[in-house]
Amino acid sequence: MLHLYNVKRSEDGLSYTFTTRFNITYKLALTTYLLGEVNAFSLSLYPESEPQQVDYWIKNTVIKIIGDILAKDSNVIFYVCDSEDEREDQRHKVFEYWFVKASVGYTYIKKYNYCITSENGYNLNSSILYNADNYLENYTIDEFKIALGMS
Amino acid sequence: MKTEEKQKLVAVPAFLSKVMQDKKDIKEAIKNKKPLGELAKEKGINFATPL
Repeated sequence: MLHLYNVKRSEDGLSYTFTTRFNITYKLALTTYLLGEVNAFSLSLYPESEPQQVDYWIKNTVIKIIGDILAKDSNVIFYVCDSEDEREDQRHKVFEYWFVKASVGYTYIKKYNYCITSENGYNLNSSILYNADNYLENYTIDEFKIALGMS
Repeated sequence: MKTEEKQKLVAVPAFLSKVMQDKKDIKEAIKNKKPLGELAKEKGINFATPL
């Protein structure tokens, strides 16, 4: 049985929330940005208090949210690893692991990765997720590259 | 099905700077229990609930 948390829309209608079995409440916010003419979602997930243990139910819950969003073939989600606490590489590895797990149940999700390295060696990892049937796949990736200054 | 690219840049593009700043602001707002609606107005952040 796949353990998931019950995700609710927040009272202000601007985010989603779920509370774990360890009584930690998480807020998941989706913000939108234009990639050319495509409206892409960016996902942010933060706990309201510091969790004390690893909880794989969170992974299952977030994967389901992403899978449900990308079930609509025109939807696009990109993720930028937060580098504020210098744990961006760990976050990227976790995200990659989550994607491998998600690919089993949500075979329609495709991913494009990028990593920018500054001259002083600072890495910024990010990924864009989209539905395999998205007919704007090439356009979206091209616009993504433009937004990142890669083309 | 994945493509990976690595690129060397001197500076982070404006698009990513905005995304990263928004994430930072959202994190702080959640930590301080600040309404996201207020943050949206202050910082020009577009929130969405597509589900």
